[in-house]
Amino acid sequence: MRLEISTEGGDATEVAVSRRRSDATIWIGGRAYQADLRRVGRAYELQLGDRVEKVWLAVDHDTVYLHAFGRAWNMEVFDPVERSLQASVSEDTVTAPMPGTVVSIAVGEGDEVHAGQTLVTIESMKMQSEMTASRDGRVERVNRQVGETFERGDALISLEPEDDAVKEED
Amino acid sequence: MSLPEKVLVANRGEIAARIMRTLRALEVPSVAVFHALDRESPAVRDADEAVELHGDTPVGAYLNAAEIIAAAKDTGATAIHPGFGFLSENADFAQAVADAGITFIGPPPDAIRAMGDKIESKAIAEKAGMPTVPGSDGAVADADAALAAADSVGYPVLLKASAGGGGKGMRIARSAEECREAFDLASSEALASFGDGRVFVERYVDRPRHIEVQVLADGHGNVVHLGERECSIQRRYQKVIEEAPSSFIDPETRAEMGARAVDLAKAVGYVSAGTIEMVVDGERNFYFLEMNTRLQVEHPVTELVTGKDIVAEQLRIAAGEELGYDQSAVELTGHAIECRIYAENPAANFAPETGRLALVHFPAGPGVRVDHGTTEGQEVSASFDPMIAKVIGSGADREDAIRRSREILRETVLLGVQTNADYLERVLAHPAFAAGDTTTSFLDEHAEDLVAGALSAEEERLLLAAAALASPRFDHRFEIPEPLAAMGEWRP
Repeated sequence: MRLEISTEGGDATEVAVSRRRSDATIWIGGRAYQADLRRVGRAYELQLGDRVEKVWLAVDHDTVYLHAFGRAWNMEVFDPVERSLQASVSEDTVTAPMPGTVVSIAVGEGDEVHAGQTLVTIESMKMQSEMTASRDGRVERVNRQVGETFERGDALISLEPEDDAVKEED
Repeated sequence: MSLPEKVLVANRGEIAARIMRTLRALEVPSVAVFHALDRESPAVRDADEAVELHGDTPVGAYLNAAEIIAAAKDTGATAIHPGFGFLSENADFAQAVADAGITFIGPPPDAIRAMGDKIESKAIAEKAGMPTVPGSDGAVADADAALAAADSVGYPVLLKASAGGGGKGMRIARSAEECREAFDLASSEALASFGDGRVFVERYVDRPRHIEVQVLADGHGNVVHLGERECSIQRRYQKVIEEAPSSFIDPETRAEMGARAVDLAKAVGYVSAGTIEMVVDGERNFYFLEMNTRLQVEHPVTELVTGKDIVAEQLRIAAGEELGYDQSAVELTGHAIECRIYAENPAANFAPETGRLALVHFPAGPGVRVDHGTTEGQEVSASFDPMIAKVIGSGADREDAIRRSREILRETVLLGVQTNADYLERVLAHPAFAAGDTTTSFLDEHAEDLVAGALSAEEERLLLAAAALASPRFDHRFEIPEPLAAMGEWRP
């Protein structure tokens, strides 16, 4: 099985690795290269074919953070099969577009809301913005209180899954 | 040298670490204060003592004046250095510190108060002989008064909140029609943001430069200036690159700006380090913008070209010493450039980024200064300002300082959180920056040029190879020899 790697969130490239003791053969986009990654102090020396480059790296699960060519790079390693099995993006939550603080919350748990209605007001980068419901539904959970901070991608408000809401109306 | 006996640093992050450095060098005992999130920070580690603060929010802890003053009393600190931000320009705090019998390392409360109001400070500056941008005489009562003021100073005009800052409550109008609308918007935004809807009108300086003069004043009436810093490279009305000296300012203008700044400091009875910010037009006319009554983020570039430790000067002044030198003893040598590294995404309108700093490495060497308060493994959260570090390159001349700063940015390794380091390197590499054509609209005007270039096919292959060889996914599939796995070696 092969894995895919994307650079800075761009298109993924198919990559396979076969290791022997110290060096490895890497297939990138179907072509084979001799490669070696050796620790030098806190950094690494990467050899690929004839080219040698100093790189710094840190691994966090499937993200490999690299510093090379004078800047940082974000690499994502993933299994294409696994990824396709993951659920598609849900409309059930209002997620934070950037880190910030909750300024006010306009709804409570159990409230009926309609698409476009303001649910929560947040402050990021000293600017306030209103987060609205993407569809009609009922508020299941309010995950943050006024004054609390959040990171990008955190779920601020959850709506009841659409199927349940339909059932209740029945 | 007489110095305060023991100093509490009422701040966090890189500036707290930077103040601690001078305290240590001068062998002055230090006290750090911290919110629980900062317990492991370098400033807390480097201090002789540390006291935890509490607040509704992490920022609130550093605004908790009562706890900070109590911490000073409990630890026997005789002086408080407020750094910048937080309580540094809070006149009531400065007064409360003095009332508690503790020395506030900064100006007298009256000077903070006078310079804190945009309309009052402009009036004082004018009286002290500092040129000000032509504008309304104080706040305008309504849209009609704004129109009348705009007619007399000439379009384009800027409508500004009296209590404003950071670009809030600020609107440009190029015609009478726009002026009416701009007044309403600026006024309501000012009321919403600052609880004070007062707005004034002034001429808008097109493609301005932002240049400021550092002053030092002792408690005996001696005031000198340490030359200027150019801080025109800004995004979202916030500085990201500052340099000293300005490539735009000639010796005559420098002397004139400096003299006016010194007169203003004297007029408000200023003591300690302060900065007079000015806007400068294409003909080198300079106008008063505001005075920052505290240490400035970008003070290191001035330290590098004057050889003075501004924090040490503040400490001496706070202990009642005289400056001991006059203007003729202040010499500017070489050039220095500071780049502020923020956790942010320049490609998404500089939206802040968060995450864990998995790897931190800063370069060192001649002409390299890095002021930071980070530790490896630290969370960069939304709780505080997203500035991670200030990297400062210096050299014999501007070209040298640019070259060195670019090297520093390329060699600064911050993994785990996206930063603007590579973006800043592209700014320094831009021909317009090299030419000194730096105005506050620089980043907007050159936005397209500042987008990262495409990788070569070979570079991309190198990145993919490094990621593949480092990723545990590939380890898992190809590296574990069967016998070892059978012996039960645990792998995540």
